[in-house]
Amino acid sequence: MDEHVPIESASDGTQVKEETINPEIVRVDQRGSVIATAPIEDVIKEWSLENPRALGGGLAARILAAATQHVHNQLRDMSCRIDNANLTIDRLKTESAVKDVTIAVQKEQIVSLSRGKYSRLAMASFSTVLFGFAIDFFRNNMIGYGLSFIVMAVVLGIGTVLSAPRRDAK
Amino acid sequence: MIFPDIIELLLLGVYDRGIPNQERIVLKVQERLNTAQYGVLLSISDLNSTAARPIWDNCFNFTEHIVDPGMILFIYTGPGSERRTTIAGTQIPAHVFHWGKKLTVFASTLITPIIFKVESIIVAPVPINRTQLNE
Repeated sequence: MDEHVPIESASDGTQVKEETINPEIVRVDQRGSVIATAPIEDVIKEWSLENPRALGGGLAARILAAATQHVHNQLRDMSCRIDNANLTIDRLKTESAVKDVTIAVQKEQIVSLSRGKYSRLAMASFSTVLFGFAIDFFRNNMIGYGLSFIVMAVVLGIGTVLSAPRRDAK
Repeated sequence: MIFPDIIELLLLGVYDRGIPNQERIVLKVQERLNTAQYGVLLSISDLNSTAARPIWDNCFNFTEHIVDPGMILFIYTGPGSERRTTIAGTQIPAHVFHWGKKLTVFASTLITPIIFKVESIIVAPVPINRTQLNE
């Protein structure tokens, strides 16, 4: 990303390069007064040193300069705190979003587990019933039926165990 | 004279100095503002980086737009049309202005822009009881 180029400049392309510095621009007699920008605390400090009378005398000028500097420092401190607080808020927002996703996933897991609970109970009951029938078949010398019922009971039992939720599942 | 900083605009810099049709001043809006209150003066750097001498008769005034924080303002020194667009490769909003100068102006690094803010004005009344030039 280049922050300094728009998608379309909308220039009409007629500008030409100035080969030499335009004398009209640099003529000394066409220059205005010097103007500058500076933080207010620096200006007051400078005035208090160079021209304290303008600020009510030496003592008053020093007090004013110190007070301005103090307020400036406090403002800078508060600004830093606000920046830090904003960073913390951003971090917490991100963490909160991650937690929301985790909670949604876990809610869905809980719903699916509660649905599976009844089917597992039914499978276990049916497996027990089949096992009971198998024992009766063995008692009546119906070995073939008994074995097939035993196999079905075991398969159902294993299926019930395997479909049970694991403790380490996230 | 020393003036306070303008905090609602951030001067990102002057780019492509001396390159026709690409030379531009780039500003970033820090607070919601009306651009009509601001302008640019050409100046010659003096003393240090925060002081300069404005060059007479070299002033650019923005047209009136309400702009929001985060918007980038481009002032191309050449002619062209004003347009609202975005930064290349992003969705960052941008507004393009044109100064309309036939020649590039920032080829010399001594020449620098001053961004100014109009705080108060006097508008002269129209002298309706006198003959006008176009009559």
